[in-house]
Amino acid sequence: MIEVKSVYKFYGSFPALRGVTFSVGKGVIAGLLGPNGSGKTTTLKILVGLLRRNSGEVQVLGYDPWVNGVEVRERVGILHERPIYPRDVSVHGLLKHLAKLRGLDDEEVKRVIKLVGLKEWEWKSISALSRGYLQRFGLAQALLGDPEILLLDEPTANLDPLARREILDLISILKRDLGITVIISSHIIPELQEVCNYAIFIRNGAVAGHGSLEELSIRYAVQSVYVIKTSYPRELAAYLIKDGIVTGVDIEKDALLVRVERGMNEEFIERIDSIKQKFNIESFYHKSSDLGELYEKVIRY
Amino acid sequence: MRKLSVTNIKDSMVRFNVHLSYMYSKMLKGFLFITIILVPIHSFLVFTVLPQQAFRPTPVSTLSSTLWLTSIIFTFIIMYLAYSFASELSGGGAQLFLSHPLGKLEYVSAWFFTGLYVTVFLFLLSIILPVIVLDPTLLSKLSLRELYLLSLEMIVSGAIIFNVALMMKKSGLTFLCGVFFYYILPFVFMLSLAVFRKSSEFVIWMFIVLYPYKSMFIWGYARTFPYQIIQASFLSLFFAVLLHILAFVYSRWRLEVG
Repeated sequence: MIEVKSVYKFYGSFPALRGVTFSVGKGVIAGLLGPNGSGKTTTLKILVGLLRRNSGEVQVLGYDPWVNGVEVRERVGILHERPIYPRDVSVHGLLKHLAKLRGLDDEEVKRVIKLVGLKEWEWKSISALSRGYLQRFGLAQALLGDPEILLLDEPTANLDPLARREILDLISILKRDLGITVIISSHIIPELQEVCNYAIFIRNGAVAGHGSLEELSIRYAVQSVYVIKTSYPRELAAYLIKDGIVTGVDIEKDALLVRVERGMNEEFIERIDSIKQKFNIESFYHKSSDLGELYEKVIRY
Repeated sequence: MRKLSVTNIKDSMVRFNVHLSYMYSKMLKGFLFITIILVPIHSFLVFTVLPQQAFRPTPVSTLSSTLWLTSIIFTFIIMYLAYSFASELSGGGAQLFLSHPLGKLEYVSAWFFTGLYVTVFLFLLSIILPVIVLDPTLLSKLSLRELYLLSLEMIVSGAIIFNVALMMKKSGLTFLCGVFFYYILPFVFMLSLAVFRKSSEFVIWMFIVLYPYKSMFIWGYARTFPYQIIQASFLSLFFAVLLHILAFVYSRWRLEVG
Protein backbone atom coordinates (compact mmCIF):
# COMPACT_ATOMS: atom_id res chain seq x y z
CA MET A 1 0.00 0.00 0.00
CA ILE A 2 2.84 2.40 0.82
CA GLU A 3 6.27 2.18 -0.80
CA VAL A 4 8.97 4.71 0.04
CA LYS A 5 12.37 4.34 -1.63
CA SER A 6 15.50 6.43 -0.97
CA VAL A 7 13.60 9.63 -0.29
CA TYR A 8 15.58 12.79 0.34
CA LYS A 9 14.08 16.06 1.49
CA PHE A 10 15.96 19.27 2.15
CA TYR A 11 14.77 22.44 3.88
CA GLY A 12 17.23 24.83 2.31
CA SER A 13 20.52 23.06 2.89
CA PHE A 14 19.29 21.11 5.92
CA PRO A 15 18.61 17.44 5.11
CA ALA A 16 15.33 16.55 6.83
CA LEU A 17 15.19 13.10 5.20
CA ARG A 18 18.25 11.20 4.05
CA GLY A 19 17.36 8.20 1.92
CA VAL A 20 14.26 7.06 3.80
CA THR A 21 13.12 3.60 2.65
CA PHE A 22 10.27 1.49 4.01
CA SER A 23 7.05 -0.19 2.97
CA VAL A 24 3.77 -0.77 4.75
CA GLY A 25 1.27 -3.45 3.73
CA LYS A 26 -2.50 -3.68 4.01
CA GLY A 27 -4.16 -3.85 7.43
CA VAL A 28 -0.95 -2.98 9.28
CA ILE A 29 -0.86 -0.64 12.27
CA ALA A 30 2.60 0.83 11.97
CA GLY A 31 4.32 3.01 14.51
CA LEU A 32 6.61 5.67 13.07
CA LEU A 33 9.04 6.13 15.93
CA GLY A 34 11.90 8.47 16.49
CA PRO A 35 13.05 11.44 18.54
CA ASN A 36 11.71 14.95 17.94
CA GLY A 37 13.00 16.41 14.70
CA SER A 38 13.93 13.03 13.23
CA GLY A 39 11.74 13.50 10.12
CA LYS A 40 8.47 11.77 11.09
CA THR A 41 6.16 14.67 10.23
CA THR A 42 8.02 15.41 6.99
CA THR A 43 7.60 11.76 5.97
CA LEU A 44 3.85 11.82 6.62
CA LYS A 45 3.41 15.09 4.71
CA ILE A 46 5.28 13.67 1.73
CA LEU A 47 2.92 10.66 1.80
CA VAL A 48 -0.11 12.88 1.13
CA GLY A 49 1.62 15.21 -1.31
CA LEU A 50 1.75 18.29 0.92
CA LEU A 51 5.54 18.37 0.70
CA ARG A 52 7.71 17.63 -2.33
CA ARG A 53 10.61 15.25 -2.02
CA ASN A 54 13.94 16.27 -3.57
CA SER A 55 14.64 12.76 -4.81
CA GLY A 56 13.51 9.18 -4.39
CA GLU A 57 10.26 7.37 -5.09
CA VAL A 58 6.97 7.34 -3.21
CA GLN A 59 3.94 5.25 -4.10
CA VAL A 60 0.75 5.39 -2.05
CA LEU A 61 -2.02 3.07 -3.26
CA GLY A 62 -0.24 2.97 -6.61
CA TYR A 63 0.01 6.74 -7.03
CA ASP A 64 2.79 9.27 -6.65
CA PRO A 65 1.29 11.62 -4.03
CA TRP A 66 3.09 14.72 -5.35
CA VAL A 67 1.74 14.23 -8.88
CA ASN A 68 -1.61 12.62 -8.05
CA GLY A 69 -2.29 14.27 -4.69
CA VAL A 70 -6.05 14.43 -5.16
CA GLU A 71 -6.32 10.71 -6.03
CA VAL A 72 -4.22 9.81 -2.97
CA ARG A 73 -6.09 12.08 -0.58
CA GLU A 74 -9.43 10.68 -1.75
CA ARG A 75 -8.39 7.40 -0.12
CA VAL A 76 -6.12 8.56 2.70
CA GLY A 77 -7.05 10.43 5.88
CA ILE A 78 -4.53 12.40 7.93
CA LEU A 79 -4.50 13.95 11.39
CA HIS A 80 -1.75 16.56 11.63
CA GLU A 81 0.44 17.16 14.64
CA ARG A 82 -0.59 20.73 15.41
CA PRO A 83 -3.67 21.28 13.29
CA ILE A 84 -5.17 24.73 12.98
CA TYR A 85 -8.87 24.79 12.30
CA PRO A 86 -11.04 27.77 11.38
CA ARG A 87 -12.43 28.92 14.72
CA ASP A 88 -15.65 30.55 13.58
CA VAL A 89 -17.41 27.52 12.09
CA SER A 90 -19.37 24.78 13.78
CA VAL A 91 -18.06 21.22 14.04
CA HIS A 92 -20.82 20.08 11.71
CA GLY A 93 -20.28 22.98 9.29
CA LEU A 94 -16.58 22.31 8.78
CA LEU A 95 -17.01 18.54 8.54
CA LYS A 96 -19.82 19.07 6.03
CA HIS A 97 -17.53 21.17 3.83
CA LEU A 98 -14.71 18.62 4.01
CA ALA A 99 -17.19 15.82 3.27
CA LYS A 100 -18.44 17.76 0.23
CA LEU A 101 -14.87 17.95 -1.08
CA ARG A 102 -14.95 14.15 -1.03
CA GLY A 103 -18.36 14.09 -2.72
CA LEU A 104 -20.02 12.82 0.48
CA ASP A 105 -23.31 13.86 2.06
CA ASP A 106 -24.56 14.73 5.53
CA GLU A 107 -24.99 11.07 6.49
CA GLU A 108 -21.21 10.64 6.41
CA VAL A 109 -20.76 13.67 8.65
CA LYS A 110 -23.19 12.19 11.17
CA ARG A 111 -21.39 8.83 10.99
CA VAL A 112 -17.95 10.20 11.84
CA ILE A 113 -19.33 12.51 14.53
CA LYS A 114 -20.92 9.48 16.20
CA LEU A 115 -17.80 7.37 15.68
CA VAL A 116 -15.48 9.77 17.52
CA GLY A 117 -18.03 10.77 20.17
CA LEU A 118 -18.62 14.37 19.17
CA LYS A 119 -22.43 14.20 19.09
CA GLU A 120 -22.85 16.65 21.96
CA TRP A 121 -20.56 19.15 20.26
CA GLU A 122 -21.93 18.81 16.74
CA TRP A 123 -23.43 22.29 16.53
CA LYS A 124 -20.88 24.05 18.73
CA SER A 125 -18.21 26.31 17.32
CA ILE A 126 -14.74 24.81 16.81
CA SER A 127 -13.41 27.50 19.16
CA ALA A 128 -15.48 25.98 22.00
CA LEU A 129 -13.69 22.61 21.82
CA SER A 130 -11.06 21.56 24.37
CA ARG A 131 -7.75 20.06 23.20
CA GLY A 132 -9.09 16.53 23.63
CA TYR A 133 -12.21 17.27 21.61
CA LEU A 134 -10.19 19.12 18.97
CA GLN A 135 -8.16 15.96 18.58
CA ARG A 136 -11.41 13.99 18.23
CA PHE A 137 -12.47 16.47 15.58
CA GLY A 138 -9.13 15.89 13.86
CA LEU A 139 -9.80 12.17 13.86
CA ALA A 140 -13.33 12.73 12.56
CA GLN A 141 -12.12 14.75 9.57
CA ALA A 142 -9.42 12.13 8.88
CA LEU A 143 -12.02 9.35 8.92
CA LEU A 144 -14.38 10.97 6.42
CA GLY A 145 -15.13 8.61 3.56
CA ASP A 146 -13.69 5.49 5.24
CA PRO A 147 -10.08 5.99 4.17
CA GLU A 148 -8.00 2.94 3.26
CA ILE A 149 -4.99 4.47 5.00
CA LEU A 150 -5.00 6.62 8.11
CA LEU A 151 -1.96 8.74 9.02
CA LEU A 152 -1.85 10.03 12.59
CA ASP A 153 0.87 12.49 13.51
CA GLU A 154 1.40 12.60 17.27
CA PRO A 155 -2.30 11.99 17.98
CA THR A 156 -1.88 12.28 21.75
CA ALA A 157 0.62 15.15 21.92
CA ASN A 158 -0.20 17.88 24.44
CA LEU A 159 -3.19 16.00 25.84
CA ASP A 160 -3.91 15.37 29.50
CA PRO A 161 -3.83 11.70 30.62
CA LEU A 162 -7.61 11.29 30.41
CA ALA A 163 -7.88 12.73 26.90
CA ARG A 164 -4.84 10.68 25.88
CA ARG A 165 -6.53 7.50 27.12
CA GLU A 166 -9.72 8.39 25.22
CA ILE A 167 -7.84 8.93 21.95
CA LEU A 168 -5.91 5.66 22.35
CA ASP A 169 -9.14 3.76 23.02
CA LEU A 170 -10.59 5.34 19.91
CA ILE A 171 -7.62 4.22 17.81
CA SER A 172 -7.99 0.69 19.22
CA ILE A 173 -11.66 0.69 18.21
CA LEU A 174 -10.73 1.87 14.70
CA LYS A 175 -8.13 -0.89 14.45
CA ARG A 176 -10.60 -3.52 15.60
CA ASP A 177 -13.74 -2.41 13.74
CA LEU A 178 -12.54 -0.82 10.51
CA GLY A 179 -9.42 -2.87 9.74
CA ILE A 180 -7.68 0.01 7.98
CA THR A 181 -3.96 0.55 7.50
CA VAL A 182 -2.68 3.06 10.04
CA ILE A 183 0.65 4.82 10.48
CA ILE A 184 0.99 6.51 13.86
CA SER A 185 3.87 8.83 14.42
CA SER A 186 4.90 9.27 18.02
CA HIS A 187 7.82 9.44 20.39
CA ILE A 188 5.74 8.15 23.31
CA ILE A 189 6.57 4.44 23.17
CA PRO A 190 4.11 2.88 25.69
CA GLU A 191 1.18 4.27 23.72
CA LEU A 192 2.27 2.65 20.50
CA GLN A 193 2.98 -0.62 22.29
CA GLU A 194 -0.77 -1.04 22.76
CA VAL A 195 -1.80 -0.60 19.14
CA CYS A 196 1.07 -1.35 16.74
CA ASN A 197 2.08 -4.57 15.03
CA TYR A 198 4.72 -2.95 12.81
CA ALA A 199 7.39 -0.35 13.50
CA ILE A 200 9.45 2.09 11.47
CA PHE A 201 12.30 3.62 13.45
CA ILE A 202 13.58 6.89 12.11
CA ARG A 203 16.70 8.68 13.33
CA ASN A 204 18.27 11.84 11.92
CA GLY A 205 16.18 11.61 8.76
CA ALA A 206 17.06 8.01 7.98
CA VAL A 207 15.25 4.74 8.70
CA ALA A 208 17.21 2.85 11.33
CA GLY A 209 15.03 -0.24 11.10
CA HIS A 210 11.54 -1.33 10.03
CA GLY A 211 9.47 -4.47 10.02
CA SER A 212 6.81 -6.35 11.94
CA LEU A 213 7.36 -6.39 15.70
CA GLU A 214 8.05 -10.11 15.51
CA GLU A 215 10.71 -9.67 12.82
CA LEU A 216 12.29 -6.81 14.74
CA SER A 217 12.27 -8.65 18.06
CA ILE A 218 14.10 -11.56 16.39
CA ARG A 219 16.54 -9.24 14.61
CA TYR A 220 17.33 -7.16 17.69
CA ALA A 221 16.93 -9.95 20.29
CA VAL A 222 14.11 -8.31 22.22
CA GLN A 223 11.73 -10.05 24.60
CA SER A 224 8.45 -11.07 22.92
CA VAL A 225 5.10 -12.38 24.03
CA TYR A 226 3.40 -15.20 22.11
CA VAL A 227 -0.14 -16.55 22.45
CA ILE A 228 -0.57 -20.31 22.17
CA LYS A 229 -4.02 -21.95 21.97
CA THR A 230 -3.96 -25.54 23.14
CA SER A 231 -6.14 -28.25 24.66
CA TYR A 232 -3.52 -28.83 27.39
CA PRO A 233 -2.51 -25.42 28.71
CA ARG A 234 -1.21 -26.55 32.10
CA GLU A 235 0.87 -29.39 30.71
CA LEU A 236 2.32 -27.16 27.98
CA ALA A 237 3.12 -24.40 30.52
CA ALA A 238 5.02 -26.89 32.70
CA TYR A 239 6.91 -28.19 29.67
CA LEU A 240 7.93 -24.73 28.45
CA ILE A 241 9.11 -23.49 31.85
CA LYS A 242 11.24 -26.61 32.26
CA ASP A 243 12.69 -26.02 28.77
CA GLY A 244 14.35 -22.70 29.67
CA ILE A 245 13.50 -20.81 26.46
CA VAL A 246 10.68 -18.87 28.09
CA THR A 247 10.93 -16.43 30.99
CA GLY A 248 7.30 -16.57 32.05
CA VAL A 249 3.95 -18.17 31.25
CA ASP A 250 0.41 -17.01 32.08
CA ILE A 251 -2.61 -19.22 31.58
CA GLU A 252 -5.80 -17.57 30.28
CA LYS A 253 -8.61 -20.14 29.74
CA ASP A 254 -7.40 -22.33 26.85
CA ALA A 255 -4.54 -20.01 25.88
CA LEU A 256 -1.05 -19.43 27.14
CA LEU A 257 0.71 -16.07 27.18
CA VAL A 258 4.37 -16.91 26.85
CA ARG A 259 7.26 -14.48 27.35
CA VAL A 260 10.20 -15.69 25.30
CA GLU A 261 13.81 -15.15 26.36
CA ARG A 262 15.69 -12.42 24.43
CA GLY A 263 17.20 -13.73 21.22
CA MET A 264 15.44 -17.12 21.52
CA ASN A 265 12.46 -16.42 19.23
CA GLU A 266 13.61 -18.66 16.39
CA GLU A 267 14.37 -21.57 18.72
CA PHE A 268 10.99 -21.07 20.39
CA ILE A 269 9.13 -21.18 17.05
CA GLU A 270 11.00 -24.35 16.05
CA ARG A 271 10.24 -25.95 19.42
CA ILE A 272 6.51 -25.15 19.19
CA ASP A 273 6.40 -26.60 15.68
CA SER A 274 7.95 -29.81 16.94
CA ILE A 275 5.44 -30.27 19.81
CA LYS A 276 2.31 -29.15 17.95
CA GLN A 277 0.74 -32.61 17.84
CA LYS A 278 1.87 -33.69 21.29
CA PHE A 279 0.05 -30.77 23.03
CA ASN A 280 -2.71 -30.38 20.40
CA ILE A 281 -1.71 -26.76 19.62
CA GLU A 282 -4.48 -25.13 17.56
CA SER A 283 -2.67 -21.88 16.88
CA PHE A 284 0.16 -19.70 18.07
CA TYR A 285 1.02 -16.15 17.16
CA HIS A 286 3.24 -13.26 18.13
CA LYS A 287 1.29 -10.90 20.39
CA SER A 288 3.71 -8.13 21.18
CA SER A 289 7.31 -7.14 21.69
CA ASP A 290 8.79 -4.74 24.14
CA LEU A 291 8.73 -1.64 21.95
CA GLY A 292 10.65 0.39 24.50
CA GLU A 293 13.49 -2.12 24.43
CA LEU A 294 13.35 -2.19 20.62
CA TYR A 295 13.50 1.62 20.54
CA GLU A 296 16.52 1.60 22.82
CA LYS A 297 18.31 -0.93 20.65
CA VAL A 298 17.42 0.53 17.25
CA ILE A 299 17.52 4.27 17.92
CA ARG A 300 20.07 4.65 20.68
CA TYR A 301 22.65 2.20 19.42
CA MET B 1 1.95 13.07 -15.02
CA ARG B 2 -1.70 13.44 -14.08
CA LYS B 3 -4.00 12.85 -17.04
CA LEU B 4 -5.92 15.86 -18.29
CA SER B 5 -9.35 14.54 -19.18
CA VAL B 6 -12.86 16.01 -19.36
CA THR B 7 -13.83 14.05 -16.22
CA ASN B 8 -10.81 15.38 -14.32
CA ILE B 9 -11.59 18.95 -15.34
CA LYS B 10 -15.24 18.48 -14.39
CA ASP B 11 -14.32 17.02 -10.98
CA SER B 12 -11.83 19.82 -10.47
CA MET B 13 -14.49 22.44 -11.24
CA VAL B 14 -16.87 20.80 -8.76
CA ARG B 15 -14.24 20.89 -5.97
CA PHE B 16 -13.31 24.48 -6.82
CA ASN B 17 -16.99 25.39 -6.62
CA VAL B 18 -17.45 23.61 -3.27
CA HIS B 19 -14.48 25.42 -1.74
CA LEU B 20 -15.53 28.74 -3.23
CA SER B 21 -19.01 28.38 -1.69
CA TYR B 22 -17.40 27.64 1.68
CA MET B 23 -15.20 30.74 1.41
CA TYR B 24 -18.17 32.90 0.47
CA SER B 25 -20.20 31.60 3.37
CA LYS B 26 -17.30 32.46 5.70
CA MET B 27 -16.78 35.92 4.25
CA LEU B 28 -20.39 36.76 3.54
CA LYS B 29 -20.88 38.77 6.74
CA GLY B 30 -17.79 40.87 6.07
CA PHE B 31 -18.71 41.45 2.44
CA LEU B 32 -22.28 42.37 3.36
CA PHE B 33 -21.07 44.77 6.05
CA ILE B 34 -18.74 46.52 3.61
CA THR B 35 -21.38 46.72 0.90
CA ILE B 36 -23.96 48.10 3.32
CA ILE B 37 -21.51 50.78 4.50
CA LEU B 38 -20.33 51.72 1.02
CA VAL B 39 -23.62 51.76 -0.87
CA PRO B 40 -24.94 54.83 1.02
CA ILE B 41 -21.57 56.60 0.65
CA HIS B 42 -21.54 55.93 -3.06
CA SER B 43 -25.21 56.87 -3.34
CA PHE B 44 -24.46 60.23 -1.81
CA LEU B 45 -21.32 60.89 -3.84
CA VAL B 46 -22.72 59.63 -7.13
CA PHE B 47 -25.85 61.72 -6.80
CA THR B 48 -23.97 64.87 -6.02
CA VAL B 49 -21.58 64.32 -8.92
CA LEU B 50 -23.55 62.75 -11.77
CA PRO B 51 -26.08 65.57 -12.36
CA GLN B 52 -23.22 68.08 -12.59
CA GLN B 53 -21.57 65.95 -15.21
CA ALA B 54 -24.80 65.57 -17.12
CA PHE B 55 -25.11 69.33 -17.46
CA ARG B 56 -21.44 70.33 -17.59
CA PRO B 57 -19.54 67.55 -19.33
CA THR B 58 -15.78 67.81 -18.80
CA PRO B 59 -12.96 65.89 -20.48
CA VAL B 60 -12.03 64.20 -17.21
CA SER B 61 -14.97 62.51 -15.59
CA THR B 62 -16.00 64.14 -12.32
CA LEU B 63 -16.69 60.70 -10.92
CA SER B 64 -12.96 60.13 -10.72
CA SER B 65 -12.44 61.71 -7.33
CA THR B 66 -15.22 59.58 -5.88
CA LEU B 67 -13.99 56.35 -7.45
CA TRP B 68 -10.43 56.98 -6.45
CA LEU B 69 -11.43 57.62 -2.88
CA THR B 70 -13.68 54.59 -2.42
CA SER B 71 -11.38 52.28 -4.36
CA ILE B 72 -8.90 52.79 -1.49
CA ILE B 73 -11.32 50.96 0.81
CA PHE B 74 -11.61 48.08 -1.63
CA THR B 75 -7.85 47.85 -2.23
CA PHE B 76 -7.59 47.59 1.54
CA ILE B 77 -9.98 44.63 1.43
CA ILE B 78 -7.83 42.97 -1.26
CA MET B 79 -4.77 43.52 0.93
CA TYR B 80 -6.54 42.09 3.95
CA LEU B 81 -7.65 39.00 1.98
CA ALA B 82 -4.11 38.46 0.62
CA TYR B 83 -2.87 38.79 4.22
CA SER B 84 -5.41 36.12 5.31
CA PHE B 85 -4.34 33.91 2.39
CA ALA B 86 -0.67 34.11 3.47
CA SER B 87 -1.68 33.44 7.10
CA GLU B 88 -3.69 30.38 6.07
CA LEU B 89 -0.76 29.05 4.03
CA SER B 90 1.82 29.59 6.78
CA GLY B 91 -0.36 28.96 9.82
CA GLY B 92 -1.63 25.48 8.96
CA GLY B 93 -5.17 26.31 7.82
CA ALA B 94 -4.34 25.38 4.23
CA GLN B 95 -3.00 22.06 5.47
CA LEU B 96 -6.49 21.05 6.61
CA PHE B 97 -8.17 21.67 3.25
CA LEU B 98 -5.28 20.29 1.22
CA SER B 99 -5.32 17.08 3.28
CA HIS B 100 -8.61 16.34 1.56
CA PRO B 101 -9.15 15.83 -2.16
CA LEU B 102 -8.86 19.51 -3.01
CA GLY B 103 -6.19 20.26 -5.61
CA LYS B 104 -3.66 23.00 -4.88
CA LEU B 105 -4.66 24.75 -8.07
CA GLU B 106 -8.33 24.67 -7.04
CA TYR B 107 -7.46 25.98 -3.58
CA VAL B 108 -5.32 28.85 -4.87
CA SER B 109 -7.85 29.70 -7.59
CA ALA B 110 -10.60 29.97 -4.97
CA TRP B 111 -8.51 32.52 -3.04
CA PHE B 112 -7.66 34.51 -6.17
CA PHE B 113 -11.28 34.50 -7.25
CA THR B 114 -12.58 35.62 -3.87
CA GLY B 115 -9.78 38.06 -3.11
CA LEU B 116 -9.68 39.77 -6.48
CA TYR B 117 -12.79 39.27 -8.56
CA VAL B 118 -15.45 39.19 -5.87
CA THR B 119 -13.96 42.31 -4.26
CA VAL B 120 -13.79 44.16 -7.59
CA PHE B 121 -17.32 42.98 -8.40
CA LEU B 122 -18.56 44.28 -5.03
CA PHE B 123 -16.82 47.57 -5.71
CA LEU B 124 -18.60 47.92 -9.04
CA LEU B 125 -21.85 46.79 -7.46
CA SER B 126 -21.59 49.42 -4.73
CA ILE B 127 -21.42 52.09 -7.46
CA ILE B 128 -23.97 50.72 -9.88
CA LEU B 129 -26.55 49.51 -7.35
CA PRO B 130 -27.51 52.93 -5.94
CA VAL B 131 -27.76 54.38 -9.44
CA ILE B 132 -30.04 51.56 -10.62
CA VAL B 133 -32.23 51.85 -7.54
CA LEU B 134 -32.48 55.62 -7.36
CA ASP B 135 -32.31 56.84 -10.96
CA PRO B 136 -31.52 54.30 -13.71
CA THR B 137 -31.38 57.08 -16.33
CA LEU B 138 -28.09 58.24 -14.79
CA LEU B 139 -26.54 54.84 -15.56
CA SER B 140 -25.48 56.08 -18.99
CA LYS B 141 -23.43 58.82 -17.33
CA LEU B 142 -21.17 56.31 -15.63
CA SER B 143 -17.95 56.03 -17.58
CA LEU B 144 -17.38 52.38 -18.49
CA ARG B 145 -13.85 53.29 -19.47
CA GLU B 146 -13.14 54.56 -15.97
CA LEU B 147 -14.68 51.51 -14.33
CA TYR B 148 -12.70 49.18 -16.61
CA LEU B 149 -9.36 50.90 -16.01
CA LEU B 150 -9.88 51.17 -12.27
CA SER B 151 -10.91 47.50 -12.00
CA LEU B 152 -7.87 46.50 -14.06
CA GLU B 153 -5.58 48.59 -11.84
CA MET B 154 -6.99 46.93 -8.71
CA ILE B 155 -6.56 43.47 -10.29
CA VAL B 156 -2.95 43.98 -11.53
CA SER B 157 -1.60 45.12 -8.16
CA GLY B 158 -3.86 42.59 -6.38
CA ALA B 159 -2.42 39.75 -8.48
CA ILE B 160 1.12 40.84 -7.54
CA ILE B 161 0.18 40.88 -3.85
CA PHE B 162 -1.52 37.45 -4.05
CA ASN B 163 1.56 36.05 -5.79
CA VAL B 164 3.72 37.37 -2.93
CA ALA B 165 1.34 35.73 -0.42
CA LEU B 166 1.46 32.44 -2.35
CA MET B 167 5.22 32.27 -2.83
CA MET B 168 6.52 33.89 0.36
CA LYS B 169 3.74 32.72 2.75
CA LYS B 170 4.46 35.72 4.97
CA SER B 171 1.41 37.71 5.99
CA GLY B 172 3.31 40.81 7.18
CA LEU B 173 5.34 40.99 3.99
CA THR B 174 2.17 40.54 1.91
CA PHE B 175 0.47 43.43 3.67
CA LEU B 176 3.52 45.66 3.29
CA CYS B 177 3.69 44.73 -0.37
CA GLY B 178 0.04 45.77 -0.70
CA VAL B 179 0.71 49.15 0.90
CA PHE B 180 3.70 49.60 -1.39
CA PHE B 181 1.93 48.70 -4.66
CA TYR B 182 -1.40 50.37 -3.95
CA TYR B 183 -0.38 53.51 -2.06
CA ILE B 184 3.37 54.22 -2.20
CA LEU B 185 4.67 53.19 -5.65
CA PRO B 186 2.14 55.19 -7.70
CA PHE B 187 3.15 58.37 -5.86
CA VAL B 188 6.83 57.57 -6.23
CA PHE B 189 6.22 57.12 -9.96
CA MET B 190 4.20 60.31 -10.28
CA LEU B 191 6.74 62.26 -8.27
CA SER B 192 9.61 61.04 -10.41
CA LEU B 193 7.63 61.79 -13.57
CA ALA B 194 6.99 65.32 -12.32
CA VAL B 195 10.56 65.96 -11.15
CA PHE B 196 12.36 64.35 -14.05
CA ARG B 197 10.42 65.73 -16.97
CA LYS B 198 12.22 63.60 -19.49
CA SER B 199 11.48 60.23 -17.99
CA SER B 200 12.58 57.16 -19.83
CA GLU B 201 9.97 55.40 -21.93
CA PHE B 202 10.46 52.26 -19.84
CA VAL B 203 9.35 54.03 -16.64
CA ILE B 204 6.32 55.46 -18.41
CA TRP B 205 5.28 52.05 -19.71
CA MET B 206 5.83 50.48 -16.29
CA PHE B 207 3.51 53.08 -14.81
CA ILE B 208 0.90 52.43 -17.50
CA VAL B 209 1.04 48.66 -17.00
CA LEU B 210 0.78 48.86 -13.22
CA TYR B 211 -1.58 51.84 -12.96
CA PRO B 212 -3.75 52.16 -16.09
CA TYR B 213 -6.38 54.22 -14.26
CA LYS B 214 -3.92 56.76 -12.90
CA SER B 215 -2.24 56.87 -16.31
CA MET B 216 -5.55 57.99 -17.76
CA PHE B 217 -5.31 61.23 -15.78
CA ILE B 218 -1.74 61.91 -16.81
CA TRP B 219 -1.75 60.92 -20.46
CA GLY B 220 -5.30 59.90 -21.26
CA TYR B 221 -6.23 63.27 -22.67
CA ALA B 222 -2.78 64.53 -23.63
CA ARG B 223 -2.06 64.78 -27.29
CA THR B 224 1.65 64.14 -26.66
CA PHE B 225 1.02 60.50 -25.77
CA PRO B 226 1.05 58.47 -28.99
CA TYR B 227 -1.31 55.68 -27.83
CA GLN B 228 -4.89 55.46 -26.67
CA ILE B 229 -4.94 54.54 -22.98
CA ILE B 230 -7.47 51.79 -23.65
CA GLN B 231 -5.10 50.23 -26.19
CA ALA B 232 -2.20 50.62 -23.77
CA SER B 233 -4.25 48.97 -21.05
CA PHE B 234 -4.19 45.72 -23.01
CA LEU B 235 -0.61 45.46 -21.87
CA SER B 236 -1.86 45.64 -18.27
CA LEU B 237 -4.41 42.99 -19.09
CA PHE B 238 -1.69 40.79 -20.57
CA PHE B 239 0.47 41.37 -17.47
CA ALA B 240 -2.45 40.43 -15.20
CA VAL B 241 -3.00 37.22 -17.19
CA LEU B 242 0.73 36.41 -16.89
CA LEU B 243 0.60 36.90 -13.12
CA HIS B 244 -2.36 34.52 -12.92
CA ILE B 245 -0.57 31.90 -15.03
CA LEU B 246 2.52 32.25 -12.83
CA ALA B 247 0.42 31.68 -9.70
CA PHE B 248 -1.37 28.68 -11.17
CA VAL B 249 1.82 27.04 -12.44
CA TYR B 250 3.48 27.64 -9.06
CA SER B 251 0.53 26.25 -7.13
CA ARG B 252 0.35 23.13 -9.34
CA TRP B 253 4.06 22.27 -9.36
CA ARG B 254 5.86 24.05 -6.53
CA LEU B 255 3.48 24.84 -3.68
CA GLU B 256 4.35 23.02 -0.47
CA VAL B 257 2.16 23.23 2.61
CA GLY B 258 3.27 22.34 6.08
